[in-house]
Amino acid sequence: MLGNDLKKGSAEFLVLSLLEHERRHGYELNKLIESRSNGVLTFHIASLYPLLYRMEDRGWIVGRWVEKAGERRRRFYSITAAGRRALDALREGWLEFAAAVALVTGVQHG
Amino acid sequence: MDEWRERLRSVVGGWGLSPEEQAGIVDELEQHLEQELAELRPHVGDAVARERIMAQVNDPALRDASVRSRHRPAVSVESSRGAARGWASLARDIRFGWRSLRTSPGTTAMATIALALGIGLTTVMFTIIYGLLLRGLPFENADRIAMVMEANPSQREEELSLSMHDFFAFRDAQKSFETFGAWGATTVNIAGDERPERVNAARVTAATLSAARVRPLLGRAVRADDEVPGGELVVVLSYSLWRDRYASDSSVVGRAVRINGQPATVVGVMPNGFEFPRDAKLWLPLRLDPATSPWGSGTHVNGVARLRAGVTFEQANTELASIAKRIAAEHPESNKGVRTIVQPFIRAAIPARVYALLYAMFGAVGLVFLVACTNVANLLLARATHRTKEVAIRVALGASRTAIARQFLVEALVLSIVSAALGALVAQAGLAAFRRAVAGQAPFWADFRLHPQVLLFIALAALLASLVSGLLPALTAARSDITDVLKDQALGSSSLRSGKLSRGLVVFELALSSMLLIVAALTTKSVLNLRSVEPGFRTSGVITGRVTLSTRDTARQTAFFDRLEEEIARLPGAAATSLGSDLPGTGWNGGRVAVEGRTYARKSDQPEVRRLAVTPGFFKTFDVTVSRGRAIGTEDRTGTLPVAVVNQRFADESFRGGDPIGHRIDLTPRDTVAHWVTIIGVMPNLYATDQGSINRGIPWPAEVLTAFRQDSRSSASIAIRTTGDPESVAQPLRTLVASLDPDLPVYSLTSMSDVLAQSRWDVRIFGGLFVLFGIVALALASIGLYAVLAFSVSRREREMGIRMALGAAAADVMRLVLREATVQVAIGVPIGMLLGVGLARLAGAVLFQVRPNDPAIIAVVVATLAATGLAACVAPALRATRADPVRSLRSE
Repeated sequence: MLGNDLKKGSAEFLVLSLLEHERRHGYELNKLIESRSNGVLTFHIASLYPLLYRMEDRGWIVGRWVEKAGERRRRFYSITAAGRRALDALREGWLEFAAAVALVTGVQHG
Repeated sequence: MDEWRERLRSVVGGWGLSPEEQAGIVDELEQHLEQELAELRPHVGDAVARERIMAQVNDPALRDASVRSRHRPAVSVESSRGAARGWASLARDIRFGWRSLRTSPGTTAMATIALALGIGLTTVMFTIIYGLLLRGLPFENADRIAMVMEANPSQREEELSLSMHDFFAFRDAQKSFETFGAWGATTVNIAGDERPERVNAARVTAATLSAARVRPLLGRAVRADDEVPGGELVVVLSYSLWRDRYASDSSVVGRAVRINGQPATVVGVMPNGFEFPRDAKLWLPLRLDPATSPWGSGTHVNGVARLRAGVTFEQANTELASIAKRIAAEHPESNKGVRTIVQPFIRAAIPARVYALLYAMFGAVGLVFLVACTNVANLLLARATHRTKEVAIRVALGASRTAIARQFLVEALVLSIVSAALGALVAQAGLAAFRRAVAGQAPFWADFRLHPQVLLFIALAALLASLVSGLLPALTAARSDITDVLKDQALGSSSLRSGKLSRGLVVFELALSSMLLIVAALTTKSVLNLRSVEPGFRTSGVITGRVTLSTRDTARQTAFFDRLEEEIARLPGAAATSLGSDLPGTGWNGGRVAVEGRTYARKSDQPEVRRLAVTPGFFKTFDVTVSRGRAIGTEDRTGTLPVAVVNQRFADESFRGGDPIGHRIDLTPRDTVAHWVTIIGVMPNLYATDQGSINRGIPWPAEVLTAFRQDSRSSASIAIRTTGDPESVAQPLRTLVASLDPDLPVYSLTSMSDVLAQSRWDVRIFGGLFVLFGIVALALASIGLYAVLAFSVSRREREMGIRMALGAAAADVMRLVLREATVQVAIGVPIGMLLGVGLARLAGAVLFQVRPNDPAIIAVVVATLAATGLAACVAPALRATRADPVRSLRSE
């Protein structure tokens, strides 16, 4: 398990990346994070949803209720233009940060 | 229902969102957890799965998550109900607003009075501007009526009248106007049937009257065939002259009268209110004969025209400019560099400085209006803060933010409508006073009443006031965070936020008021300066009047005036008498002069002087003593060397310390024939209030006195220094003049001190208005300061109580409150000062002998504001010192 702080800082990055090409609902986001990180990263609703709402407040993502015939309505999130800009900035920052950490610690990326 | 579902509802319910938002979030989280439950159950069994789900719901992080309202597009309740329900809810809001305003009558009354004053004063100023400048002449398509003037920028000459030669040349060549007339203002004696009377008149060509498109009430107007020189003289009466002099007798047409001693026939009467072009009480044909003088000299006239349909002022200007160029090529000696100006009539008739003054005053009342709105905003804001709990409950019960904001706006609107009604009454009274004050001074088309357009303006002002003053409280109320409020009502962050806002508003108010006060103080000082001005000549105990002779025979004129002066000297009570071309200090019969032997590169380099022709009695009547040389004496008569006494300013400017006595000056440097006078004496500077001196900002202009008896003239101002009451000489003077010539009226009979007082009526009236604006603004700002401090003290009563309980002295607590006030004054006042000095420059026309940045005045204004500010916070500060810690703690 990763430390809480590190997780918190990267959570927005993860969500934005997963929404980059597709809109998804909250449960799907959580499942994808869990499976793609091989179970290293998981979120509880207490951290995931307030995070999504905050990101929505900031205008990075937008949530919409989608109703399909005969199904319960679901809330889907998609990325906004501001979200894409934020994602680019986070990516850049992450790469710089990773490179810097690698230089200092001698740890190389797999 | 599952236990975890119930628990989830209660946790999310604690986030303090609107019901719609809550429902959405619960739905979303429920789905998530259901899916997770379904996934876990096969692996760990139902009981453990439910336990894990419950653990997630019970996570304290979820309870404490700060989820703000996100204005999700909730299904709008109002929009689904249709327009009728919308109106019903507006009516409900208005009723509710009215009730809620009545719950705090003190606040409401204060805010209403403030706003009523603001709206009232703004309306007065708007009416003045509307009635004088915007409404236009009361004629058909009056916006096409133009004034045609000339200017010569190379000689720095603006607003010249046209020489008659130019007038005819323009009239015959132009195609822009359907009529192009000439006129000149004059005053004439009318006699022959009733008592002799002196009235304002206009000599007009027929086209001048037809430009107005107004039909005569009786008979006919001036016709083109009346303009032939030497023909029978006709006269057209104004309605007021017909009413007052002829008791509205309709048989007046055809009556024989004498105009300036000439027989004339009344041919018509114009309708009521028609005094075109400028305050004319009767009209005479203007008879021009260009053959009598060389091009550019002789009679000069004003051009008045009506644009053809479809022609703009710009096109008319372009056309006349090309004609002017052609004339200048043909007559360079008189017309080189002369340009024409075609302007809308009123624009041309009202001097630019009056325009600037009126708009400066409109700006000033606009500021008063803003101060009043700020005040209302502040009071509403304070109420909004008191009502945060009410708002929070309404939000919790499902009221949308828009509905809350609308409620506050509607309250402001209700308040504004009441204020507007009161404001209209204030305006009504103010305008009545203004009309009395300017009676006889305003041009005939000015109509200072509450026109429909003005009422529309009031309505708009009220709407604006409600928006300006309601918006901030509405937004603050709608934004306030209900969880905070419900959790901690006394010290909720929302009330702190609005506290900052209202302090900001008070700073704004203080800045606006100090801006107005600066101007008010400057104009007060101007009025005082005017009152205490030392004119340099006697004004008390002197009665004045004027006569204008009909005869053109110079020998008879001279004989008459000699006789008149002799007879006046014999009147009982007359201590000294003088006749003059004008009275000192008033009238403008000046122009440029040239000192012998000097060359001037430009005409505008020649010294500009006031000119006054006086009889020897002038010096005794007005207590003026020459400081060097001699005064004008009885020996200075026709046939002797023409002499002049100049004032100190002229001596200083033209002789730079040298002795002017013995030098000669040419009084008519622009004519081909020089008019030389020899300087025989120097006198002190005399105060002058004529328009020329005021426009140039010189109340003590250069002046040249010549001998009345060395020149012939048809009119004279009489000044009599009396031993007793000057008024007691008025009737004997009338009788005396009537005995010399029964056709001759004595007019402008009034004391010299009144002459001077009337001459600056504009400073008194408009300066007085500025003072009024300043006082109102000051009162409003101090109400605002008081309200905010009182409110802030009431919020902090508990803190004050604890401070006192812990040993703070009353003085410490007072200092705390005063410090808050001082900060606001210290920020607001300097900003206002800087802006005020700027505003004062715009109002320059009503300033007299003060500099806009006069340090003494700034000091007075700062002191006034500081004192008022302190007075406003004394009561709240005292209340703070009486805060009882036990009571205020118990009240929690």
